[in-house]
Amino acid sequence: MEKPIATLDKDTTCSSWNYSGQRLATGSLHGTLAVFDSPDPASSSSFSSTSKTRVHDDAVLKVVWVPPEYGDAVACVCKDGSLSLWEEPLQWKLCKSFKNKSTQVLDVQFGACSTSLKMVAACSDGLVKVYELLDPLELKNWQLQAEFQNVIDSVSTFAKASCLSASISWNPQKGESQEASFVLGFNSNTHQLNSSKVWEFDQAHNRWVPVAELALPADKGDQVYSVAWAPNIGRSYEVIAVSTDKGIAIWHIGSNPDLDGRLSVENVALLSGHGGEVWQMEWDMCGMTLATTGSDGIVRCQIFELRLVDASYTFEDIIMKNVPTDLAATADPVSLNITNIAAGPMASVPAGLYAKVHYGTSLSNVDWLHGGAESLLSLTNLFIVLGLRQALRRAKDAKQGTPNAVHGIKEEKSSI
Amino acid sequence: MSGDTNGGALVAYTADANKAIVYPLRHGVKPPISRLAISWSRGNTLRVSVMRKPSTSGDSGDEDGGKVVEVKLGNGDGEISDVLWRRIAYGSVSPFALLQSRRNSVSSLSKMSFNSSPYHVEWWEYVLEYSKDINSLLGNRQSPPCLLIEDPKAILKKIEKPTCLKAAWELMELFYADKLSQAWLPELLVDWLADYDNLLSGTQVTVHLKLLDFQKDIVSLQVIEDHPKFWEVVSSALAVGWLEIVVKLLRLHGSYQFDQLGNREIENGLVETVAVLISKMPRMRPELEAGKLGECFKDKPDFIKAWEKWRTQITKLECSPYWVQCVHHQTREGLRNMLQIMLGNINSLCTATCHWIELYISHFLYVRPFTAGLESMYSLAQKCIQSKPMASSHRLMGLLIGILSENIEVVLAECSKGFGPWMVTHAIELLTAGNDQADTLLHEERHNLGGISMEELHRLVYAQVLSSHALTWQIAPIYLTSCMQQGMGLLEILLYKQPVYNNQLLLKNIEICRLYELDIVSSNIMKIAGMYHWKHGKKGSGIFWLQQARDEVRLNRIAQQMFDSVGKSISDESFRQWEGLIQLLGSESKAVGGLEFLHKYRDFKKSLLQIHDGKTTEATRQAVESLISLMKNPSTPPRFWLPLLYDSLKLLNWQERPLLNASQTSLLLNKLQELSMAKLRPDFVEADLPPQALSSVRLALATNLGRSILEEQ
Repeated sequence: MEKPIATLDKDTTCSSWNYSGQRLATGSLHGTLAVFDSPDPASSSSFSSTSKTRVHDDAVLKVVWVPPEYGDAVACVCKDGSLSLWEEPLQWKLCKSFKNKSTQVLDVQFGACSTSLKMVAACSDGLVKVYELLDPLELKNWQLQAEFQNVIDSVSTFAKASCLSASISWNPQKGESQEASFVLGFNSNTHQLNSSKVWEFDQAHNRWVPVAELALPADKGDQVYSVAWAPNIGRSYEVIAVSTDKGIAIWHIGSNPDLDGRLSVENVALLSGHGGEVWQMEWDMCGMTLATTGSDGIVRCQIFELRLVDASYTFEDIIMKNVPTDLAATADPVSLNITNIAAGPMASVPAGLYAKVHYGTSLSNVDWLHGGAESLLSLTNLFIVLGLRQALRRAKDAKQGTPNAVHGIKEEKSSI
Repeated sequence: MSGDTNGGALVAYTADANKAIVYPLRHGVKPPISRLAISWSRGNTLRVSVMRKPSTSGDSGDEDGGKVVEVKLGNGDGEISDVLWRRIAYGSVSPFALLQSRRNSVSSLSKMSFNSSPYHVEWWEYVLEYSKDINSLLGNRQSPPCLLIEDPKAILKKIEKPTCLKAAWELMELFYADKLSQAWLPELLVDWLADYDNLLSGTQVTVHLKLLDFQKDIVSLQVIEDHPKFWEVVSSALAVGWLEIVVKLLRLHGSYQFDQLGNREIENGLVETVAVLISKMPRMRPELEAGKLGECFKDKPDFIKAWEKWRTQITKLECSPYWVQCVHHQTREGLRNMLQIMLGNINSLCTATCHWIELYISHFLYVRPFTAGLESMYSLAQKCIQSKPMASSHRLMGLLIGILSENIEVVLAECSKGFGPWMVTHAIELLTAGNDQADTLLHEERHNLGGISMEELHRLVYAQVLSSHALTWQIAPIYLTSCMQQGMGLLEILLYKQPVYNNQLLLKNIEICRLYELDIVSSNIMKIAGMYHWKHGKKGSGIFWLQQARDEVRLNRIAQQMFDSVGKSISDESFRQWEGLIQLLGSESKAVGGLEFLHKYRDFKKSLLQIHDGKTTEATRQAVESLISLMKNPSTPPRFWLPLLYDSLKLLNWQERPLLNASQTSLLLNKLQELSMAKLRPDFVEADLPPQALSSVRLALATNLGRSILEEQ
């Protein structure tokens, strides 16, 4: 199931793939930007480093690719909070450097809008800066289009904010008609800044307006680790994932604003997080599977499933725990434990990936399903398919007064 | 994650231990790991970067800093190799597409007329044809274990192990697509088990496994009928209806040998009678393959009659006095047990079979020979499972139980769980053939799926799997276009993610866009390609692709760069360079305003160069014409107006006679006026000209206007 495709240089701190997954950019502790390419672009079987550029004296903390419509370029966020743009025709050259002594850039993301390229930078003082590229051919000329704080009502301003991290995610929609919008959350000491808000560009008034806040009233001060806007291939609503200490919340955002210009939001699910900081969240191209990783060192893939009778959304959960090969060979008790529970992981994981959907409907269409079985459905994580079916049968049997459960089903459960 | 990798993982792990599927990710990086990064690649491939904690001083310096591993999710079960999978994926495209187009034409036909035409083919016939096409992709149908003439002692043919996928497909075909054969469904199941019983041997003992074991011993056995296993194997094979094997085994009985025939006449007679009875077994089916035993009956009344007669013969034999005269104990007991099996004695059947499905099949053969359709098949299956519980579940059995329970959702889920997205996507066609309930279930648009139907969801998932491989992504559009709601959306994303560096690939992508009328995507792809070439110094192809993309913004910007370069000095070498580029673009440049302007500007500059002091020639006339058309043309950016007029000062101040007439001059004056107004606007860009430029142009124009009015009078 897994195969190594590249070996990273020593002291690598961050990595990022370009739009087509054909190039990998990594940053290092010593301020080096390394770019990996595949010798055969069609197969992309293995990647090796093709260029190394010193971009800074300090460590590179984040590398972000510029949208391909603007050439092969990356933005590097360094430990001292500086932001620089590097471009490659033939070799990597600095095209723009943003420096500010008083504040540090925490995250930066690009949004390719219909007219121009926009760059959002979230800074350690709690300010959000939106830059616009003036010349589509050159990445040198940027204009500061807006500067604001991540608060839902624009009247209040907060001084002395100190932010540890920030996360930005643009609406991946590429339609011409779409207004540019992004979601942003902070991990800071100022509660009002933390909760993630959806910002939309108001073309008529030429300004950015907050159109939604993605936090339950009680959780508004929660520090946000990461946000991810799901691709939308035809839904009438948008889906955004927001991770906090409490887990990963999935939000549905309606498309029609109310009188105040706010969009309707609905918290549809709370998925398991990583028991601490969430480093990264990524939706797949369908917007149905959310991959996450965090401080517990595991990768989770949570697959969207149907809404069940109790109107909760469920996600199948696949955990990829990183196990070094030599560790597995020495029969470490921890990894043994894991293998035991996930009996036959090699076969069952990939095959079971998309199984859930049907049982979901199966349940939703069965009207006798009440009481005992419902408690099972409230699980936000994976419920084992056949285990559930067994419960279903039991519920049915209980209703019909026939106590005997079918043998075979019991057997099936043990194999999962 | 600080410090120890495993310590950190354990905490979150125990919290969800019984809910989540845990998969160990083997990356081979030595701990400690400082960070992970993830990124989705093509389709459902996830790339995980595993970064080592930076080494402190004193560590050996040649360690790697980490690894990137690619994880493919939902990618088969290892039963079928990747290459074969791709062959199946490619092969199933055309049957699928054919069926879709037939569906479209059938639905448009049914809209036109309510009465189906006499030539109308039943829909399920199309589906059956489709099913057969797909089935043939999954491998050749294995002939059931039957005897080989060459080796009298080989009871099982050495066959290549069939795949579960094919077995599952045939099962689906049997129950859903093949409407004609519904009457002899039990017989089809007998055949199916004969073909695929060996697939079940992996998890449990089966009759096939028993036969296989016995096959090993058979060579070394001298007196076969003395061996207790012999009778066990024979009755097992009889119970599941492998009549040829049974008869062949019986004929190995020692009493057939010439030297013993005399002593064991009665015994031999009994063996032969049983063998004949077995080979005359009535079967409710249209035909039998060559070499297969039994007598076929197409009509039920005939079959019932024959069956009853056959049964009477068995009963007669059972009560015959010859049994007492048979001295060989094992033979007597063995044969009588076989008769019990044929008479449908449940206990005998139960002992003779191993797997529940074998018991199930034996019921159809000997207990309920007149079963038709799905009636009570499910409850029988449950009974069989109860008496022969499975040690572990098998995906084929899961599917079969789903089918028998007549629950479409369970069938779909079993298909998906056991056989993956390919199976579900293609099997849905079988499920919906002539089944209204399944049809509504699968085609109903569901809000909670984002407005798509189950069928579409599965196609999307399959398309995503296809797009994860460089060699299969190109067939994904065929499935995506059959998705009414979200297929195009996914196709757009898929195409956008294709690299543009390779020209051939680029052309292919554009062709796909053209095919599906995805103009926005194709212009985006061409934009990316244009920028790539432009940035890499291939200015010509860069402009070409940007033109194809109709990217006015960038082309205008390029035109401006060219203009700046051209405008600096007329005689400069760089002009020639640009001129060549503009020439290269030639007629194509009409597509976009910026370049059209540049084209004209080049002509203007050229004719201006040819003008020699003071003489009115063809060149001057051309220069004036170019100037006027440039100024008139709406595609000329206003910021070029002043430089143009400034450049043409010598035309305006022409000594011999005014070159521009009154109306032309007033047009230019109007433009000048407009320009002065435009200066007040915030987005005005000042041209790089001497400060007195505006006034000198104005003066020249005014003088020219005066002179031309005078001349015209």
